[in-house]
Amino acid sequence: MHATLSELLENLQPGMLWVSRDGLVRFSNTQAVAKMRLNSGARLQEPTLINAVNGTVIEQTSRTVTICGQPAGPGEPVPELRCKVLPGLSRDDAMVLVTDSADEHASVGFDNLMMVIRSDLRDPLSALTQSLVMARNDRDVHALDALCDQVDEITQVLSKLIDLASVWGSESLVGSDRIELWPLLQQAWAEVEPLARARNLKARFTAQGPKTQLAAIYGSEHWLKRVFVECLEAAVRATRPGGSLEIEHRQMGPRALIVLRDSGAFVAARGESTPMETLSSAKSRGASEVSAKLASRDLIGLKLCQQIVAQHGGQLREEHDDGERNFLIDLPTGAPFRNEAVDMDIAQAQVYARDLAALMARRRDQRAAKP
Amino acid sequence: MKKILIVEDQPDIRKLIRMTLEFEDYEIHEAADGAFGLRMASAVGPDLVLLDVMMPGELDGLQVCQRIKSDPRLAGLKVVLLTARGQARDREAGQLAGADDYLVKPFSPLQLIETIDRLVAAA
Repeated sequence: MHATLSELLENLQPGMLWVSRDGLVRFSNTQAVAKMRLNSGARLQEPTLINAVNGTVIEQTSRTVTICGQPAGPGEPVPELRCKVLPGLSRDDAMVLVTDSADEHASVGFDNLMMVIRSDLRDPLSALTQSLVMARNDRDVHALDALCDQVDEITQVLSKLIDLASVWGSESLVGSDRIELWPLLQQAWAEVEPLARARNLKARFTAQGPKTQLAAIYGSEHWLKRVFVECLEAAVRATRPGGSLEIEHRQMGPRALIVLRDSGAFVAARGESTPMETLSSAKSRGASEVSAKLASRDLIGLKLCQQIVAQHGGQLREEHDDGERNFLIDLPTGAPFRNEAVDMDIAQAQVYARDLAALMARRRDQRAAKP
Repeated sequence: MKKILIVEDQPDIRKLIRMTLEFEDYEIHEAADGAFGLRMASAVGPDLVLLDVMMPGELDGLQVCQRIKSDPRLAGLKVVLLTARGQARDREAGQLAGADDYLVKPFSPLQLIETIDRLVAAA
């Protein structure tokens, strides 16, 4: 198993088993071992769970069963475990999410993660395996090229997953850089421009009002640039070759909006038609393949952007305007409230208390000096 | 009596500053965000503005400072930036915006009084 995937699964709060169709436990994280006493390499013994795994593998649909777990120690009660069985990374295995009633909520986040891993990694991994076999057998230069492309694609997906894991539930990464959005947008575009050039796309950037008077934002310059790069890249990929992109910076009172006009950015990730797909409707099969690839590529990027923007107090949304579907990055300007502000309050009060005696002495001296 | 305008979004910090200055001979005014602070500066005509840098809203402290310093009607108005950011490039940004002084939070009340007295005396 890839080390990153292993790390991701190991650090999940619920118990997690990766099980083959024949009941062999391919991977069991620490939580699952504690709850079920099933180490990697062991076999499932619980008939209800074995049936659920079989059903999931055959029908490729998830199901939930309740089984008895292992007591924490001698004389301890036998816990009741809720096992959610999900289709695995290949068609012959399944993932089992093991929770007790107290940590059921964790399964929702896990479902999302599984969906991302399944949709973004399964097909590229499968294609990579095929290419490896071909390259080994045929020593074919074209097969090696394809192999490199696939390795590149998987590396990109894994890199996004690592970034997503880095920002997940962590506000400490947000930081308090003073960020001017207009120059940051230009920096992000510089990274995306080669892709746009390769697709013969033109981009037009506009700002409402003088660029020097646009509001600043406080947060993480690194992560916000990442959002801009992801969104611009998604827009470029969703626009038909030879087309054009319009990007606007709007100031709406205490909010800054970056608007990607009618670009189709992340539309595929939400399972809808992109403008590019609509234009190539005559080639419906090709279009749906393109759409599936876009969806796969964009899904983690979209979740990553949502997470980063939410940590800055903003949101990603879509707006319909005169028949156009605009994608918006909506951010509060100035400094959003965070716990750091409370900490600063306390620090300031402590300094005030420390110097209070000197302040009082100064006031006494002033009073005494007055005639 | 000299006038001081405090522009700071955190009410507790505003209160601490007011408590620090209330026995000095200053008339104190307050604003909770940059846009209101800028309007107050025009309306009240203070001698000195204590201006928080990181505030929510469309204008942060640096932008308010730039606008004050570029407004001929507010010529002579002293600006002290209050900020949690004390790195060299933050100070440079303050200088570029035209600030007369720069206090890093948490600042001592004695340091605050000394800074205000010095700048107001020089005005």
